[in-house]
Amino acid sequence: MIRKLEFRLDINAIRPIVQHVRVFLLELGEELAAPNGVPGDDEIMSEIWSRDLLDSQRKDIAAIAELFDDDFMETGRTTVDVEDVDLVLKGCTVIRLKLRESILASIDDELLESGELKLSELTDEQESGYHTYVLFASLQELIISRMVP
Amino acid sequence: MASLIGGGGSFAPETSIDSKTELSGVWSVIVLNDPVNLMSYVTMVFKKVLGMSRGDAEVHMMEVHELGRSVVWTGEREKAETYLYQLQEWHLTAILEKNDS
Repeated sequence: MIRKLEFRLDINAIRPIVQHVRVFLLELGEELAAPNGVPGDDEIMSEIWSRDLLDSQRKDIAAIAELFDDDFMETGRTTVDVEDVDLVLKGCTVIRLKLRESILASIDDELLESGELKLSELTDEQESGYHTYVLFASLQELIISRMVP
Repeated sequence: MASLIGGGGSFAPETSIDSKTELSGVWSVIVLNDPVNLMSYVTMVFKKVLGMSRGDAEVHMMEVHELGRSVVWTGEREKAETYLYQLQEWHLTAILEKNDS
């Protein structure tokens, strides 16, 4: 397993994606990407449970923000250290969940999963959202295959 | 969940018993299918959070994928809640269910 993975991306191609991500990062600091079932119906426990999950999610998206920081916007280069792998992997999922329930909400699950979409039938926003969705999936696959034992 | 707060007086012990009954027994942690998470990601999470072998993790992942849900752990309520929280922290859709018997 390698301890550090460097990515180099075409900054002109990736710019719209990073813009999407930056908008989402702001929203995801305030709300859970996927509101989940809280055990029991105790209101106080429910509040603490959700708050702790949100705090955890904030760390995930902070790792993604660091990945696509201003330095990346200049060079197109970024790195994932082994210490940050868990946060980055979770952060990728957060972004994908957010895309799924917003920009890509109207697209059928099977189409999205198979990738057999007709890009020409998507709006510009959906197309950019779909590229972002795929990029973060690829990033996850790469990190899992190279950096997770 | 029943609470001891406000139970007061002679009702307090009864509330306590109710609470214990409600939370005792065997609980299942169940992961539900979602259209977003990758198979490799779900397998990895099962290994990390639940300490499954790769083979077991893949079996449960496929169960989630094909059947829509998989019971990934059963046992006492407190530990089930811990696993539930960790799975949700990894952004999997997970719930708790109390076993009938």
